[in-house]
Amino acid sequence: MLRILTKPLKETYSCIIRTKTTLDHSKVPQIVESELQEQFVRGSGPGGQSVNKTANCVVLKHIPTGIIVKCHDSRSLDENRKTARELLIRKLDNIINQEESIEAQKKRIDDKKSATKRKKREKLTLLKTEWKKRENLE
Amino acid sequence: MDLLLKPEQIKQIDHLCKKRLDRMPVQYIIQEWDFRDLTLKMSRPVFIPRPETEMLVDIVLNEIDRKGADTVLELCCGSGAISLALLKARSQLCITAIDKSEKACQLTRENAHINNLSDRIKIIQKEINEDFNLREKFDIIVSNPPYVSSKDTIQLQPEILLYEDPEALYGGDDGLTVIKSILKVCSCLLNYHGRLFLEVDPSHPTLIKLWLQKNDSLGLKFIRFYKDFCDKERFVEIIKEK
Repeated sequence: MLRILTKPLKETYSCIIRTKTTLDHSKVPQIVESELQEQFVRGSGPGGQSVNKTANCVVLKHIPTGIIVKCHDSRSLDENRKTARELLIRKLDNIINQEESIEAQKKRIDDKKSATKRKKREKLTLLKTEWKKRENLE
Repeated sequence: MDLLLKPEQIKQIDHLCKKRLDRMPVQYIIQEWDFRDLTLKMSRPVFIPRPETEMLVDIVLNEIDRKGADTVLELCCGSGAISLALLKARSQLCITAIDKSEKACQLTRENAHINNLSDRIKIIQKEINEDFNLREKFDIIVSNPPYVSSKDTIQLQPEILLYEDPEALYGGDDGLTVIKSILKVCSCLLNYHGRLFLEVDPSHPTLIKLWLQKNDSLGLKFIRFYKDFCDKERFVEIIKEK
């Protein structure tokens, strides 16, 4: 039965609606720029226009934990700096939150999905085999 | 999985390697490079964007947001990296980009087209001198002008000396020649309280501050410098006060 809402949903419900596949981001650690140490390959001298090197590798160290990540995915230094921070957050999340990390949550959801799919396939195969048996009998 | 190369492919790689052995910059060999979230065409001898300049884009974006600006002027645009990165990041922006080199203007036009930004950029080939006039004023001007001094020019890598446009690099004895021309011209181009953002050599911020104090008739005041990722004083912010 449809209930017509006279008020917008946000006003009616004040809690966060969570489904089976929503990821819980509440425990993901935040990084503070002042706690990071970055290293770039740029050579000595004044830099800037006077250098043309294609090495854009970023080495990022999280000082409080000593964790180091490296990123050389892109040809843009700026993009590599952003990606390095994402990598660092993911690594910190896995170490600090372990089972509750985003990666662990994603893996659980994926494992569940594969298990459900597998069961469905097996059931279908069983139904097919039984149908064949019945047909052969006739 | 391993990929087996065909003879034509091996020949092509050989050909490309020979160019690299001749110290041609990789960016000119493959004729493209990335700048922030854009891929730009690179074409010799137009100046190849440097990673430091990506930070200048962030600084200008900050000012654009602060002012709610929708137009920006770029001087010495080269391949169009700064302008196009700004346009990509802010859909309300329209930019006028200037360069004295026809090849640079042409490359900027191509890069705008490749990145579907042609409708929001106006590209003008013009040299910055006393006769410079645009009949328009701006709240925000950005530039990465030639700022290499003669002392530093001598020590440049072959990749730069042999292949990049010297006009895009050489800023006179102290590296400030083009910068000073830009400052003079921006005195008339900036609206009241408009700002100019420049990429410079680390030796320049102090010199620029002093020069603006000495040439106060320009009505320009040095606000601050910003450091780059190698902790060098790389960018300056200047305001039009009178």
